[in-house]
Parts: sequence; structure tokens; C-alpha cells
Amino acid sequence: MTDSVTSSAAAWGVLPAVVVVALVAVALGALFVVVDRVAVTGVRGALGAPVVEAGRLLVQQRRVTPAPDRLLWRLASAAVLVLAMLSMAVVPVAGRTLWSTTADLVWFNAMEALMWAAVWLLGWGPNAVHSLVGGYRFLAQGLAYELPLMFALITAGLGAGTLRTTGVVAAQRELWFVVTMPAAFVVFLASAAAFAFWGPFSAPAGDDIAGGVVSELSGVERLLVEAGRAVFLGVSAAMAVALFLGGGAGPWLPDWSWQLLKTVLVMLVLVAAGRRVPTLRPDRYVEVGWMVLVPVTLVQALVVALLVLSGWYA
Amino acid sequence: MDVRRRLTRWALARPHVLLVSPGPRALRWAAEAELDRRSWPEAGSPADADVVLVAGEPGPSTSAAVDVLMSQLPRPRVRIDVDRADDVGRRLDGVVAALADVSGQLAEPSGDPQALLRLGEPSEAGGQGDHGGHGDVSEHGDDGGHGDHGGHGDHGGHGEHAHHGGEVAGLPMAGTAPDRDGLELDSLRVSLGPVLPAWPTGLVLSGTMQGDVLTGARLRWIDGDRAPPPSPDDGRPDDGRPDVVALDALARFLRVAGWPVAARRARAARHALLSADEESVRRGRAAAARVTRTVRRSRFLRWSVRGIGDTHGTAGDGIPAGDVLDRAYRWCAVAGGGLPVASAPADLGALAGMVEGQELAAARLIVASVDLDGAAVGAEYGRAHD
Amino acid sequence: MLTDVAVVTLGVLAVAAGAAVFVVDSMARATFALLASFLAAAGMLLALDLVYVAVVTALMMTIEMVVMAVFMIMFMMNPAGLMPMTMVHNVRGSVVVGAGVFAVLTTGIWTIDWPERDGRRPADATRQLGETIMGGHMLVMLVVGIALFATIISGTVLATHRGRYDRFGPELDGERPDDPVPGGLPR
Repeated sequence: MTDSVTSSAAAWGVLPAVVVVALVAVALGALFVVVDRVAVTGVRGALGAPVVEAGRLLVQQRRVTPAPDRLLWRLASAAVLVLAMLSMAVVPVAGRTLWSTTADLVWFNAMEALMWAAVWLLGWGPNAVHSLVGGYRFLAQGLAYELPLMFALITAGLGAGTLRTTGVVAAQRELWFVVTMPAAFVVFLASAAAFAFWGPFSAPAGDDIAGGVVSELSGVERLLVEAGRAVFLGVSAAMAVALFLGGGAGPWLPDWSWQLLKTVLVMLVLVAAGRRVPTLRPDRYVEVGWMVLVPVTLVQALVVALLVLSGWYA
Repeated sequence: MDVRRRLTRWALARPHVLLVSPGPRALRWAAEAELDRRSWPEAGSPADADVVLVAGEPGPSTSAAVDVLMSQLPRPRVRIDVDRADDVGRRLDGVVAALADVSGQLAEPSGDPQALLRLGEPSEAGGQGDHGGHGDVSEHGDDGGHGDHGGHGDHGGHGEHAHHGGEVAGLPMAGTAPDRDGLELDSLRVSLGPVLPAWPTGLVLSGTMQGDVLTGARLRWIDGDRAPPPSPDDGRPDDGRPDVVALDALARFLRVAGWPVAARRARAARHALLSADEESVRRGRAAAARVTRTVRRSRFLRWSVRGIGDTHGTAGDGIPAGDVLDRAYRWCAVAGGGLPVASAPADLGALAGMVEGQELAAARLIVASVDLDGAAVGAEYGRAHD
Repeated sequence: MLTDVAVVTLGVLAVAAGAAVFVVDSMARATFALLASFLAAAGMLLALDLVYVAVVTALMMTIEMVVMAVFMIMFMMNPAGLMPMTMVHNVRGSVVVGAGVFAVLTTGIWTIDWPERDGRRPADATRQLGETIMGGHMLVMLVVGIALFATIISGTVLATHRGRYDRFGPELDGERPDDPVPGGLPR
């Protein structure tokens, strides 16, 4: 495959492709919010929730704290959404990614690493204790799942023999990667939840610290951050489909509908599992991350490497 | 203008509410039931809130704290005071219109918090962006200066630690001190409370934080030794019902433990149990049984909080023996009708001792694992169940 | 043309952000100015179509800066960089060293006889890069990698304040480690 086929920017023109991909990203985010709201407070009012909540935050005033680091704080709140959108650039929409490079998976990972920096700044900026504690919780958590996540991503690339997302999708024509890489799949989804500090990994924004990194945000900045979290979760669900569930592959229906269907399914599973459990406290979770997840993902990569050598994926 | 107004009303149709409940807990329960019925989220911090709902008559210090809190809300903002349970719904009905009415407030320039801070005027100086507790106006006195702001709008109490760090932008800086792990970390004076999510209104935890380890912890009620007494005519008969009290405590604990879904289920069961209707009480019992079963069976909860706040076998000072998980299970048992509520109110001094040297998250769990609202009523009702 | 403009702009940005590290008076800002400088450098690589190198630079530098932020700032409870502090130590020495290195590198870049490209660009530059770097030297690379990793671990072990004797007792027969905060594994 060449660039002109795999990149939607080349196929549809840069501007239309960017607009379409951005809209899809926002739609995925909104979808996630709806699914999550249904799980937490029930069906009532869930459908309109993303729009109403966005409207509320747009009407609301931006509020400041005494002596904040204004520049870094504002930068961070914008960065969360921007990074979530940028990670969408390498997720296939209708069979094409907005931007197709020879290092798509590393790009996705780099956006997550930048998210790390952004969320920590979010905690640092407002000059408030709860917020700062939240920022540090995020870092501690991040240190523990960054490596397993990297290994999970690399495992998919290893199996496909390419770091190009569309290549990874194409490599699953015979067999979905989730079959040979179950551990990588689970770790990827868990890390996505952790990067959006959502569900069992929501300690950085926990109620015990009054909302942590988001505790001092209001108005449009809160909207940017909350939207960024939601979009990132939606994008990650779509990415999980592309990396482990064969992308748009499926009988009868067109590719895009299969992809959407699988994405919604992944979201449902993520929300159902994530909302069933309480927050996993970082001081407990971090040890598991280092002592269990890192070895598990390494073994997973080893198994896949051996399968590659034996010609299993050929 | 009309279009604009309608749009505003539509956008603010589901406002976030910060609940301040200095009054009897039956009143808070009514408020929470009404919020849950409307699916209006409870705000976690002033920045997140559109509405401050004061349930009950605040004492002088709490009242001042609510004023500071109000100044920390982004506009448009509304404060409503409720002192009768049957009044909550009606007052909340008016909130959206009120918010839309004051959405013109946006035009007003918001005061620069730093300028507010410099004023040194108690009701404003604490201003926004507190460190820790929201709107704590307390600690009158003994350290001079403008020491009456225990811990907000700054890095801890003014004047309390002028000896280290110096001042920047009118805020005292943290200085270093040896810590638990043998490091020299900056230490910061903080106060948690009197208003925090899932926290008894009026309680203030002050201490020094290094990283997120709390030392020198001190707990107190800002309006006197104990929470305000229940008002004579409001929901008194319900106030002491052990199953309802236990579900309430359990819901708070679950919220602090980061399990909003289960917390909501516990609250829903509590609402049903308080209903006058026989049928919903029956459903409430079943719901309570289900949620307590979920909590007891949750391996993740056990794994996550086991071992925190262990009394090492000795019960006393109103704190049941075991760790926070044992105490949460105890609430489950009480909710199922198996046990009476704790006989004596928890002793704040003993509680402060348990919180000492804990991390912030653990400290919150420990405080949430004992019934402090009960401190007010325990003396009158708790013993009756012995 | 577009590439030239992008490279020059990002280059200026990288230098400016690098200079900002020494101008700003807060640790957080210095850290993130440095990160901005690295990201601009990554952007230059991207403009030159070296996607993998660019993205890996961004990835590694971000993590590095954030870890640096942890270690530099974690020990300080003054958020938002309220306590102004200078980022410069030994001004004269560092100016001399910095100017010297800059001169050497610039001279080198302009005087080296760079090879002309012969042949076509590969379809997958990342794979080719990997083969060039790792292909013939896989063993060396692996040994170096493991040696570096072992060094890091032994450094940490030597520096750590609490060893296994503190955790499991002098006879190492403690059933559970005696830690201030227990971890999540059953042991």
C-alpha cells in the first residue's frame, strides 16, 4: 500500500479530511459521554447530556485562582483536547487514516506522553493543593502504565510487521490480533482509561480531592478538558478496534458500519467494566503495574515475536 | 434577547449543585434525594458549581465560609437556603430561572483574586483558589496578622508559618522540613473543609502536608465542639434510624472511595427507605440488601482500601475496631438491620490521631469511615439503640 | 520551499525556547520551555520527513521532561512556580561552554563534506533506519542496552534509603515487608 491510498488527507483533500476526522473524533467523545452517563445515572437525560453540559460550560464564566501560572494552566487545558484530536489522526476512519506515516503507533504513543505533561500542568497551574495532588497522582499512575502501554502498542506493530495503523488492520485479515494478544488488548484499554483518568483510574480527579486536576477549572477551560478526556476515550476505543479487532472487517455490512459497531461495543465493555469497580488507589495499583503488567506485556510481546518467527502471521 | 434567554435556560437546565448542610441530616437527605431525582450532579468544588444549596441554618463561622464559597463560584451563580425538607423541590424549581436571570452577571468584571487577597477583609480575602478546604473561615485569632483564614486562598493559614519560605504574591511560601521517608520535602500548611464533597459540613482538618502526607493533623468543628443540634421540627424521627444512617454513611464512604455508581445506589436505597409509602420502603430494603451485597463482595474495593486506618483491634472513642473496610462492612451490616449504630459519637481527637502521618486519600477514607454527623445526634439517639 | 520555511521557523523557535529556559524564573516554566525546544526540534525532523525519529524524539523528551518535573518539583509544595528562582548556575562557565559547543557544531556542520543522495528514497524509512542502526550491531546494541539498564538499577539500589533488611528484618524472614504504605500485591 502506498501513502495515497492509506491517507484520507491525500484521498479527499486536506481540509475536508481534517474536518471529517475532527467531527468523527468529537462524535466518538460525545458517544462515550452518553454511554458513561447511562451507566452512572441511568438513561434519563443521558442522550442530550454532552450538548447540554457543553452549553452550560460555555455560558459559565472562566474563574481564576490567586497567583496561578496562567500561561501554563491555559496551555494545558487547551492541550488535552488538542492532543486527543491529534491522536485521532492515525486512527482509521472508513479505512483511511488522516495521516499515514511509517510510525503511526509511535505517534499515538507520543500524543499520550504529551497528555501526561498536559495533565500534570493542569494540576500545577492553578496553585491549589487539591489540584496539585491530582497532578502528582496522575504522574505516579502514568509512570506505572506508560511501559505496559508501550509494549502493548508495539506488540500489535510486531505482529503486523509495520507501525502503520492501516497496515496493522490489513494484517488481521485472517485472524484478529485479540486472539493472540489478549493481554495487550486489555492493557491497551486499561491504559486508555488511565490516560483519561476515568473510571477505576480516576484518582487524579477523585472526589476525595474535590475533583483534583479539574477542581479549579470552570467555563470553557473545563469544557476543553472534559471534552478532551471524552474524545480520548472514544478515540482509544476506535484505536483498539483497529489494532486488535480487525478494524472494519466483517461480513455483509460495509466496513465503516462494522467499525462503528465494534467501537460502540468496546465502549460498552469499557464502561460496564470500569463503572463496576471503585477507584483503584494508585499506591496499590502502581505496584501491580510494575510487578505484574510489565512482565505480562513483555511475555506477550515475546510470544508474538515467536509466532512471527514461526510464520504464524504470514 | 428572548432567544438568548431561552438558550441560557436550556444550557443551565441541569446545574451542578454544591451542597452545604449545616442543618440536620434529614434535611440533607431530602436535598440529596431531590438532586438525584433530577439527575443534577453534586459539584465537587466551587469551580464546578452553579448553585450553592445551604440546607439548614449555618452557624456564624459556617455562614462566613459560605460567603467565601459563593465568591469562588464562577458566574452565573445562585445561592439558595432551605430549612424545611418539603421546601427543597420548590426552591430547586426556581434555580434555573434564577441562574438565567443572573447570567447577565457575566458582564461584571470578576474581581482579581489577588487584589481581593490583599484587602485582608475576612469575607473576601480568602477568595478563590484555596488550598485544600473550600471556604474555610475559621481559626480566629491566636496568631495575629490576618490569621483568620485557616486555609484557603493561600498556601495555608496566613501568619501561621511566617518563619519559613517568605511571601510571594501575598501568599506565604512553603519551607522544607524532614518527612516520614527521610527526605527534606517542602511542608505546606493546609486546611481541609469545612465544605468538601462527602465531608461533614463544618468539620475542618488542619495540618501540614509534605507531598500528600498529612502531619500535625487537628480536627475541629468550626461552629463549636460538635455539629449543630438538629432543629426540633425537622425530620427528627428519621434522624436516628440505624439503617438509614448506615446507608448514608456508606454512600459517603463509597463516594470518597471513588465508586460513584455504588454510592448512588446506596443513596437511592436510603431515599426509598425514608419514603412514607409502604411499597417503596419494601423496595428500599431490597435495594439496600443488593447494594450492601455488592460492596461486601467487591474484591477491588477490598484490595484498594484494606489495611487503611487500622485500629489494631481496639475499638474506642466511638471508632469501631478494624480498618476502614471493616467499618464500611459494619455500615453494611447496620443497613441490613443486623447491628445498632455506634453507641458513642466518634472522638475527634482519636480520629485526628489515626489520620496523623497518612496520605491525603487515606485520611479522607478514615474520616469517611466513621459517622461524624452522628456526633451531633449520637448522644441523643445512638445510645437508645444500645 | 515549504520545508525550508518550516525548518527555519521551527529552528528559531527551538533556539528561542531553549534561551527561555534561562530567562524564566520558575522551575515548571523552565522545564516546559525546554520541552517546547525539544518539540520544535522534533517538528524540524518531521518537516524533513523523518517521521519515526521525530515522533520518538517527541515521545522520549516529553517523558524525560515530565520525569524531570517530578523530581525537581515534587519536593516543593509551592505550586505555580510562585517562588521565583534562577535556573542559572555558574553563569560564566556555562556561557563559555555553550558558546564553544555551538561554535564547534556549526563549524562542523558547514565544513563537513556531506554525501549526495544516490538512489531513491525507501518506501519505509523507519524500517531502513532500524536495519541500518541495528542490523549489523544487534549484539552490541543489546549488550549496551542491558548494561545501561543494569547501571540504572544498581544506581537506584545503592541510592535507596531503605533496603531489604529494613523491609524484611535483619534475618530477611519477615512475612510481609514493613512499608509505610503497603503496595497492591499480596505478599
